[in-house]
Amino acid sequence: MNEASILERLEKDILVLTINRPSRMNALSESVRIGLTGALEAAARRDDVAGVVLTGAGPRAFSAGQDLDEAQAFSAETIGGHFRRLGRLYDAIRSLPKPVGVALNGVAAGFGLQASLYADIRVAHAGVTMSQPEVRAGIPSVMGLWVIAENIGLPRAVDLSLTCRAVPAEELLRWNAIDAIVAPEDVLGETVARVRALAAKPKKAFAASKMNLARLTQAGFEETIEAAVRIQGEAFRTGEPQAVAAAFMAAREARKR
Amino acid sequence: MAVLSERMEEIQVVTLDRPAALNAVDAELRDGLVAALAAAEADPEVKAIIFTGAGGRAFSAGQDLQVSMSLDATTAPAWFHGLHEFYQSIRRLSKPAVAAIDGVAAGAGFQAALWCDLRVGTAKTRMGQPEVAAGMASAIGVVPMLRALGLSRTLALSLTSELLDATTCLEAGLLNEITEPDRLMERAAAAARRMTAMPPVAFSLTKRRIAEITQSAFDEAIEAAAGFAAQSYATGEPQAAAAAFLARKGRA
Repeated sequence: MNEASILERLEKDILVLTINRPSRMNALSESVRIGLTGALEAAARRDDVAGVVLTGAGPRAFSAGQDLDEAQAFSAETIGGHFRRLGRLYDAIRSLPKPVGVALNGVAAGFGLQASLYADIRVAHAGVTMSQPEVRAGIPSVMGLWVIAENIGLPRAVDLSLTCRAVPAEELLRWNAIDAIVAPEDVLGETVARVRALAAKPKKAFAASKMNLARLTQAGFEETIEAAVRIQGEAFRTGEPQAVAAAFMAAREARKR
Repeated sequence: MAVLSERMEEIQVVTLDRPAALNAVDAELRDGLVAALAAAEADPEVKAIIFTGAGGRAFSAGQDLQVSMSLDATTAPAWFHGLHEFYQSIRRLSKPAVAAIDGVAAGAGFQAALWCDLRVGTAKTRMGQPEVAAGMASAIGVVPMLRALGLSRTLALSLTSELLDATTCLEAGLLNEITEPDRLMERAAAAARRMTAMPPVAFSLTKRRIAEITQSAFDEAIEAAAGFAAQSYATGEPQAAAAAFLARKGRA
């Protein structure tokens, strides 16, 4: 039986979208990407939705990033399309003319970090960490580099991209990368409350302001996607990402035995 | 030799070595750094680079005052064009680069440190952009400063010429870590080694992208600085500011 990768639930006027692959740390799979993109694009048009909250199922992760089993299929030919489609998902967050919050129920790595930074607000608990571990996986950090640099400055984008370290919640709060740290059981409720408060503001002014900020960063966002397509292709043509992924899978198999 | 380059296991330590002048940037130091970095980049046994300053008082105080006194409206633009390769030699490194900063990193020294991947300081680290106090436009430094600090802090630092203390640098992301002076090199090496184990293609392509996203702004800033320098040096202000400073220090 195949359970839905994305759970949708309306809390009155706020749409809660839960990435539902807890046994895989809510890793980004094709079905997660398609489900999230569709739900976000639909939310923009839905009259019964005033705002959106993204979260992850289970206590461990919002999302640990790219699903490594599916990444086995990436090649120099296919990787560009993957990043274009990922760009469309991020655009669905940054261009949604309604407030979007992320309830960080656990770690946010790679895709998880980036989806969080494209949202309007982020609420975490003290055990949450964020990281940008692409380089360690043999994937150049291009889109993550951009959104971290835009949100919290280039030096920290360089630090996260090149060291791949996990940044604890307290440090993220000092950076203004998250808006609040609350008890784990309060993360979702607090995020919904904050998104609802934003949704209660004059809607046209909110939408116009958010759209204007998206417009001001649009050229950089689009250039970044094109750069990702070009640079990831370059990386995959060397065979390094495939070799790193194969070594990782072999190590995982060895641990299972 | 204004630049000392030596191996510490797999790490090349490049020391700005003019301690009597607070490791200020003159033509010899500029060219020495470019040569040392080219050699380190080409050497397959070198896995990372640490920059530091000799003498325990400064990473680098910035542009050398004798250089400032010797330039005029005709020669100043060429000096600033020469700084393009100085900074590029850091920006184009495909290997991890860490700045170990004990004392002052000002002006050109501040900017050289900002183009490194990570910066480790001590309690007496101070960083800033005192070009205006020295009679020069703050033009090249604002490129990395804007990306690190945002507009209001970049304006304040550029226009007041004040230096930020170590704690403020850490909060602002200009330093990644503060440690004791006797542990500085050890901590800088540990920072470098967080990066040396990364897959080399992904790492070097990411570093190339980091440089790429500021490349046009950086190139434009060098041109702008060369233009401003011609105007500033025509007034005599930078030469007078440097002479007054040296007179106060009794070194004129």
